Amino acid sequence: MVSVYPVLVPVFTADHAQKLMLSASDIPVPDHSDHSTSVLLLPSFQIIDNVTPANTPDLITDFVNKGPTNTTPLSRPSQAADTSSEEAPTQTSAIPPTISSTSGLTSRPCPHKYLILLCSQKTRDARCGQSAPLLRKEFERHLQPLGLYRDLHDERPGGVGIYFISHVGGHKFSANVMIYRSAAAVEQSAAAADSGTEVVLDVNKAQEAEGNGEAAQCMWLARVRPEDCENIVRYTLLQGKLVKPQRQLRGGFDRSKQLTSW
Amino acid sequence: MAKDSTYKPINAYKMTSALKNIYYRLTPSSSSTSIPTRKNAAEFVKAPTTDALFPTTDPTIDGDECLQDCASCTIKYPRKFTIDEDEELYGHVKGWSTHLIVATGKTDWVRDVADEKGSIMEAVDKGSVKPSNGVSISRSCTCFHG
Repeated sequence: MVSVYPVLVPVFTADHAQKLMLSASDIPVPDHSDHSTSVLLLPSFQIIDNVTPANTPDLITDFVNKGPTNTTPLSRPSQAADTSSEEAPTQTSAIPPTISSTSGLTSRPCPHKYLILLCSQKTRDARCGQSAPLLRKEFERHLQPLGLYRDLHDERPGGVGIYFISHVGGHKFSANVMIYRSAAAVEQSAAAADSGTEVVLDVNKAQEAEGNGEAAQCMWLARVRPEDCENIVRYTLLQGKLVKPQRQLRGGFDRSKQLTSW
Repeated sequence: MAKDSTYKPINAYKMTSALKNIYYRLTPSSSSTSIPTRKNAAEFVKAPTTDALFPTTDPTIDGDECLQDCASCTIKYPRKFTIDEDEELYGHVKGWSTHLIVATGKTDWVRDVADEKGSIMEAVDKGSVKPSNGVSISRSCTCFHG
């Protein structure tokens, strides 16, 4: 039973660092003769293509700096699914879907509705190298029956992108798992909670029409084991609820409620 | 699994809606947090505890499944996989503004990924143009949390 008691808590925060978290990942490099690659930028949830070392300054100036941050309030959620002919409000950001500039950089929305990022960097810690593939397998097993699993080349909308990323810190608490939930995911689970119904997964049609919007939440978990994956999918991914917060929540943010852990 | 282009809606993890309705009538506000008043509409506030940030599962609402680890799991960590089990976790990661994830097609990299020659990580880290966003605010507020 939940006890409700009022507690007055003074909340102090330090200066917010202007920090870009930079991760290498196993996202496949598109096959271009010019050796360019792509990057996934959060929380805007955009993929920027044709990135090279030479145009990286433009990537920063035109996309990173002009986009939302983890402490930018989320735009008003999109209305019902009759916005198919217009851009959904949650897509509002300074980044247009494509950009024509001398840099050659173009952007498009990430098709995934959720992201699971697993630190896999063996050169930093053997435990990360060991845990990431095992967790991915377990996540796959629980996402498949829900129609949410996407392998590295599957860009069907509405699922979960699972990627291995480089060192994020805290490898003594391996495994580290970062979960990003899109605005569409957060809206959906909030609506389900309010009406006391289940989260119904109806992928494809609504997703393709509206898009998922920006990343609204991040849960940064640690001490994750294979046997945790089922409940992480069932509660954290799908409903935004924490199963073992004291043991596993390192931090995160919620742009819909304008909260951070730092 | 066949790549079907149309999916039937799937009810994910049944919850007892009757129980939920009773719960919501008895406790109209969310148990996890009251939203503190903010000095301005764009302000973000630090959540002092995990359940001020995100709700925790509750077996009376979420079912007993939330109390049990996956029973069908056959994948195991190596026997010698040991980690710190005791340190308090919440609230010790430094804040970040944006997250740039570079497609490299690899699952392991040199120790400092910014040293990967010719990579975007190197270009971001060692380039002269630095990110300028992420607002620097000192903020404090007194909030109700219950």
